[in-house]
Amino acid sequence: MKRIIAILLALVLAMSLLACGSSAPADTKEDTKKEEPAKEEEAEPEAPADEGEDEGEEEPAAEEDGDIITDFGGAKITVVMYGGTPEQAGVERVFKKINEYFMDKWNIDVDIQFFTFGDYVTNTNNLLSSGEPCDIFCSGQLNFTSTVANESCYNMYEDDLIQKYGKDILTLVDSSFLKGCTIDGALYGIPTMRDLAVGMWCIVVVRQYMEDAGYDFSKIDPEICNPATEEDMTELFTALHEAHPEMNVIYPWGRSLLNQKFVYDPIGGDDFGVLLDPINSLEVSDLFSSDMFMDYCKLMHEWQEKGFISPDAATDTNGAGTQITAGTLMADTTGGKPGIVRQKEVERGDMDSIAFQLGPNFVRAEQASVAAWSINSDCENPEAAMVVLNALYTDATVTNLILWGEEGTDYVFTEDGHIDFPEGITKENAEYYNITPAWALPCEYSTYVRVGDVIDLWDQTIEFNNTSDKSKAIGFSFDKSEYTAEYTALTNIWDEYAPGLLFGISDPETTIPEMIERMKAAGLDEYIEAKRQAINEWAANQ
Amino acid sequence: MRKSKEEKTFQIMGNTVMIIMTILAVAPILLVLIVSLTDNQTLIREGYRYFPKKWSLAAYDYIFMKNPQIVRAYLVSFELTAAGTACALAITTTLAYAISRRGLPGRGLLTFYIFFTMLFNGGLVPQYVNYVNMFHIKDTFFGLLIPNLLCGAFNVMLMKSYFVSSIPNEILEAAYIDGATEGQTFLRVVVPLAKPIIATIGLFAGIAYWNDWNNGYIYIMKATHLYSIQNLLNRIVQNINFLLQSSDSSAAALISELPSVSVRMAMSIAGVLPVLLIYPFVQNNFVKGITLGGVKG
Amino acid sequence: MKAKGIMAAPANTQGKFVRLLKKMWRFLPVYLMALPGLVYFFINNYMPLPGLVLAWKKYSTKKGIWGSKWIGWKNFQYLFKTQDAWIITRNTIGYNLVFIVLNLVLAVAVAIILSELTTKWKKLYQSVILLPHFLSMVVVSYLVYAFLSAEHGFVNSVIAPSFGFDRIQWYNEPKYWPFILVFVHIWKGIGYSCIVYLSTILGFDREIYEAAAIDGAGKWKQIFTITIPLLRPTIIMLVLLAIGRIFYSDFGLFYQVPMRSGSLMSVTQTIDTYVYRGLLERNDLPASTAAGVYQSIIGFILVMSANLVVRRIDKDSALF
Repeated sequence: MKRIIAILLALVLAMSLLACGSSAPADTKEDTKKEEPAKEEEAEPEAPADEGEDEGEEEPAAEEDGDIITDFGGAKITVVMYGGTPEQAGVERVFKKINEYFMDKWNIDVDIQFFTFGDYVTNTNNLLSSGEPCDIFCSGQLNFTSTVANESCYNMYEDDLIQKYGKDILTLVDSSFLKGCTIDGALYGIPTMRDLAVGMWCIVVVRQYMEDAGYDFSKIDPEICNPATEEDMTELFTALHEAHPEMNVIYPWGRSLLNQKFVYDPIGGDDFGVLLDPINSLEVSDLFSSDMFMDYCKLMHEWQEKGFISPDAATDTNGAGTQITAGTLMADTTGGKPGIVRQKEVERGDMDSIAFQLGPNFVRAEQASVAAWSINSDCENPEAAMVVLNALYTDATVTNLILWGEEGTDYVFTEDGHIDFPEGITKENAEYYNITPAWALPCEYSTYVRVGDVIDLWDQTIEFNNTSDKSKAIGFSFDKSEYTAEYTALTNIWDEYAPGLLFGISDPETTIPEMIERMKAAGLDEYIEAKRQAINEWAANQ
Repeated sequence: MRKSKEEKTFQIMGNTVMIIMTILAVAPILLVLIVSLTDNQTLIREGYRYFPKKWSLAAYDYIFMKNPQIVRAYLVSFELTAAGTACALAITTTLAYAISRRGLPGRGLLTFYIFFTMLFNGGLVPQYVNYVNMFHIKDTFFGLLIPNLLCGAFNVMLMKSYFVSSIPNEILEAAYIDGATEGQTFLRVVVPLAKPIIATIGLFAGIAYWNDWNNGYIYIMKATHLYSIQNLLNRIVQNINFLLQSSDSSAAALISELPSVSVRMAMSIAGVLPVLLIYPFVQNNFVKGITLGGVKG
Repeated sequence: MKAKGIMAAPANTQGKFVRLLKKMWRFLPVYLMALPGLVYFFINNYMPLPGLVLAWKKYSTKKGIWGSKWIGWKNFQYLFKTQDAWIITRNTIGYNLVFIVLNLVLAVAVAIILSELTTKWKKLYQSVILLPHFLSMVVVSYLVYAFLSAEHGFVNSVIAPSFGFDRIQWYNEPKYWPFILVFVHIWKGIGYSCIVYLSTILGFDREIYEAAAIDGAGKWKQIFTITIPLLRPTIIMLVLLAIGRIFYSDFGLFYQVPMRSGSLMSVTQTIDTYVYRGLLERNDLPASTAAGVYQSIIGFILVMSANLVVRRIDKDSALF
């Protein structure tokens, strides 16, 4: 009895301890948070006062040019970026240069923080939750819809922020893409400017094996994605398989890459309830009961039975690129885009390759927001942040400093306008090289092109984006927080069946109906209905 | 002691069991070592083999050449493990001793207070916010040392149970009557008697600190010179995972630059090797501590 | 025991209180010794604990954890509204029960063998069986794959042909996986879990054994009448602690080792993998917090009940 009382006492004690222990920090945090917007509002018409200065001093340190601020009085802006190898000898030097540039031009103290790909989501989430400095970040990496739902993103239409301080972004980014980051009329992010369209059904084969199979190259352009049909491929694969029976022919699209195969739009970022004819119609249907899906799974099953696909494919942890380099695989699948052949050849250690594309180029609805960049809703100086973001998209000085470092020290121009290492510097001894790939920057268009790629790569990319078919649903986003239960159950079921179906191991005739039955029991219809309602509502407001 | 027949059968059976277990443990680890020394392309072509066709040092070359900070990272790991084990032992032993004292008012309550932390935790983000905003341990050595590892409820409970069962209350009472202070009793009576469990908990804490990558992953953002060896290795793995899961063909292109299987294996070896080298010494002291500590009379 | 007697003596409340204070004063140095640890637990575990309220909130980083809106039990729904709830719960608890029992039996057995062996090799045995503990689950999953993969695995390419049985598509056959997973778990953990028992046994008074030997008790008898009864408190405690974690599963073991093979999911899906798969792309902090709260509460109830039972039977072995 006594012990039970003791336990209860302990509970009470523990609770009270933690109650008083935690209310203190939470309170102070809330207080400061409440104060800050108020303070800012006061200062809004002029300019936010220099943070960190004496609070009593309301004197705006910043200079104004009419309504537009041009001198931010040393406001501190932290940019959180992601990439491959942040620990390099030259990073400090280059980032100092970037900081100086911003200080000279706008008097903004810019601090760039790099996280590696693997660390980015956890670290940025922690920064956002703790209220530490994090003014500009890639909300797309954290899942754009959730980040907006968590109220982490600043609305850039508020007080005409982007119209005043982000003019260049408005000219650079096509309004149809900007719509992709707009929710309920509020602009929460700017799409990453890179290849946004995807060339569907793109297959890249190593040329050597095609020669071994006696392929006729007369109609082939080795630089581009050659149009082809399913029958062509089955024919080619049969020939390849006969020439090299010991090798696997192709490594098909996995679960997350399915949208590189069909023209369908996984609106809301999942495959439960999709647009099957996204270019013309907003009709939401079930992907899994469509003929398209059945035909595709049948084709994969056929390829598996013919021995084109490895029976271990579903559990293989080696990427297709690695398998090709090792000589166990002849072709893989990818999303087509300008420069893809070159990219694949580099990936394979300079094996000459030929690309085929069986589908059109297509921009799905989510593509615009999938790597969007946002300003933190908690940002103390959104104007300065907008100026910095604007520069990150359009200022060639800034983007090239980040990507390539300093001219002369880290790179030099070749005669035809490419860039390359200066004399005596190589990949191995470079102080600043490859901190991140160009596509991980907010915008790659203003960066210099390195030797090996075509000089007009970015023009081709812009052209590619603009001429591609676009989903009618760009700008639609689906907040699944009301449907977490259905979504979780459906994802788990799809995870269970996807490897078998997409790698052709299970027989689609029996497996697909079984999967659909389980999905229906898990609420597939309700989920699709919810999406249908959401998209109808969204369409009505457009 | 004379050896009976039963004793002999026991020894034979015991040795047989242990030899089988040793083989079961060594064979796969040997495979890890061999795979780490196998040419990556051979691996993909032929699968893992104990006698590969082509050997290669490329994986180690990648780890050690592409990461010049690896030597520093080893140093950080050693410092962390040493400092962490010492602090953890000091805190755990005193706390466990306190809650093992019979007659201590509120003992049950305190035990519950500790045990409760094994079941409920506030989660990663609240803990991060707490440590960073209240205690400012980010990007410092404390960020590696303090969160989660310094004192674990499991170790405290283990130690407490040992104290309760192996240190007779009579000895403590006798020391008290003899006029020894609590501090003296603890240092002169309890600690010598508790050597086996102190060695065990020390081993556990040391392993935990050596193996940990989570604290560095979360609390070290800018001060990457504080990365321990496990952080460095884990970061390579995290990057591979990100790129593998990414639905981006450009991301896929980066994977080919990251070496895959043989490097992962080489990383395990790089992480375990120092342990293998040091463990015999630790174990010697461990066994010595245990045998010295056996309760006499 | 004696102290209890004094406590129970009848006295008026005033006297009782004074006596308690006096006693606490006597133990003041002991409290001081406990202080660093208690403070540490407060900082490390109790201060972040209010973060659990996230499970009942719609999270907003702008408003912070406290300022976010309350939404009731919504974040918990997804844990129960699934056809597979039964399979997931069955797997989680089933595997854990098997792990608890087998770990106990095997770890105690290995500890006893190691403590009784006279060969000088025993140090080698002990350190070698600890090695697998240092491998990450990803590497373990590669090792398992090295043995079981359909094309190149040892079992299919070396063992099957030489013993003349058919190749097995291991990653498509759920029926083998409960055994594989249990084996991997024990293999990885046995060296670590036997250390506790070993050090406890080595702490026992050897004279008891000598006395028993003089009385003619053989090795087996000594083990069953001395070692195991003396180990009982440690065994009970470790089992109780394991029961508290019965709703958690070793994520790496169930997610990585089966190589995410879909056809094995009926025997490899646990609460943790289910939640992970659902939240992987969603970055949903409240939902994952809710899962943690659910697991903790069930564990808490189970371990408290188990502790109650233990206290009925053997008061000294109970946790508190």
